[in-house]
Amino acid sequence: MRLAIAAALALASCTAFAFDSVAWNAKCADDTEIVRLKAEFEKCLATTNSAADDIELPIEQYEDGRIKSRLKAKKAQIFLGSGVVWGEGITVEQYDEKGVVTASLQADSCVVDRKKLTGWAPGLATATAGEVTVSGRGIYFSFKEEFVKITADAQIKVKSVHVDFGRLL
Amino acid sequence: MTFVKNIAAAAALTAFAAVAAGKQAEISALVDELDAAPQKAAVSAPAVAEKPVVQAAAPAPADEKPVVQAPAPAPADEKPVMQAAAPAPTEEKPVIQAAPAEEQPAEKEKKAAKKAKPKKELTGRDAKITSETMAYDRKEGVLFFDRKVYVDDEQYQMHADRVYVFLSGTNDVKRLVALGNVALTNEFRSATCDKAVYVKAQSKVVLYAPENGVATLKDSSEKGGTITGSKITFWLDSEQVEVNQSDITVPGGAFKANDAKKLLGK
Repeated sequence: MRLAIAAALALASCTAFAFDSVAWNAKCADDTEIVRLKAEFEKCLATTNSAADDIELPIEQYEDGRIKSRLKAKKAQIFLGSGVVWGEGITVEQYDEKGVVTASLQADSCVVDRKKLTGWAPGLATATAGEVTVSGRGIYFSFKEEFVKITADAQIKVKSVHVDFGRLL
Repeated sequence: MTFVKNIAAAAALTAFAAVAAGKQAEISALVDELDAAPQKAAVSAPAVAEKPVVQAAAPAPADEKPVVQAPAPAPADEKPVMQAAAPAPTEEKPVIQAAPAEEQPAEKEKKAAKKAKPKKELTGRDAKITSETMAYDRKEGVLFFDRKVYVDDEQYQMHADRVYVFLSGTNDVKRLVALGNVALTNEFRSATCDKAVYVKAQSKVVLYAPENGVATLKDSSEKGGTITGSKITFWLDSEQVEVNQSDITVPGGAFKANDAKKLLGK
């Protein structure tokens, strides 16, 4: 029994560094969803007529009903047919099962697709997860994939991410 | 109940391992490809050294086993090459190992004085990385920076065309791969190469040369000197460096024991 666990752990640790670079690069390069969300954003801008002030909206929920991610906006409109939410002064937060914020995103404006659990912020935006803070212009994010892509002026600030190149030099 | 849980856990782990192991061959080939390829995934890695491999070893503690250099590994191979009682090098890839020289008392004093100098204090400020585009995959623990990548760390600066950073669960860097026109600099020294790989678990940095060029490690301080090669491997903990297809230039003429070490500022 212990041997089986040990063997399983050993195998699991051996495979811990597996990374499918080809598939990952393909995923990174695929802008289909970004193009779609850009179009949705423009459509929302053109058709917004009843935006509400200071709203909070759950995006995702855990199986037991607790909120997994929530959108807060100074101004927002929900488009019921498409499931898209357009907003300004946006904060999107993700929570763990204890309700603690694990990641957040601030954007001047953005569109969130509540069905596909994806979003697009065309302007300046900042995303934070743990000690990693990324910022830039044109941010695409996927709640489901836990994936963020910045399309221009990307910048990241990281604590405790020190590569020992300093010692080489 | 606990036993059942154990079985379930073991089964889950085994299943995961089996699935992962099944995919391992496919995936590890891709990882090797990423590691080996200086330009995008399809470009071949630098050729295996034909020139001698030079290894400069730091003075070893008395109880440390002698370091023996194994024949040069394939460029994509990330396994450590340091092996005790390794087979003798082949004729095509002779090995030169620089043994520590006997130190004169004056030299020892100089070193002691140098050691006593206060090191530049680090403030522990955040490292900042900028690029044109970036992707962060939290599930995979991968950060990818594309085009005009600039890393501003307290201890060094780096430029590269593309950089992959692989993070652990606690967001520590476990591996970094910089690709294309890689330039690393600090106050006195610089390194240029086509690909740089840092592996934290092995405490190792490997610099790969471009297809028709060399990787260079240069010291622009008074002591000067340059190391070039098709592949420069530096073990940060043991402070050993291995250079494939090497060319070492040091001031004052011939290459001496410890010169590579001095060149590296150790």
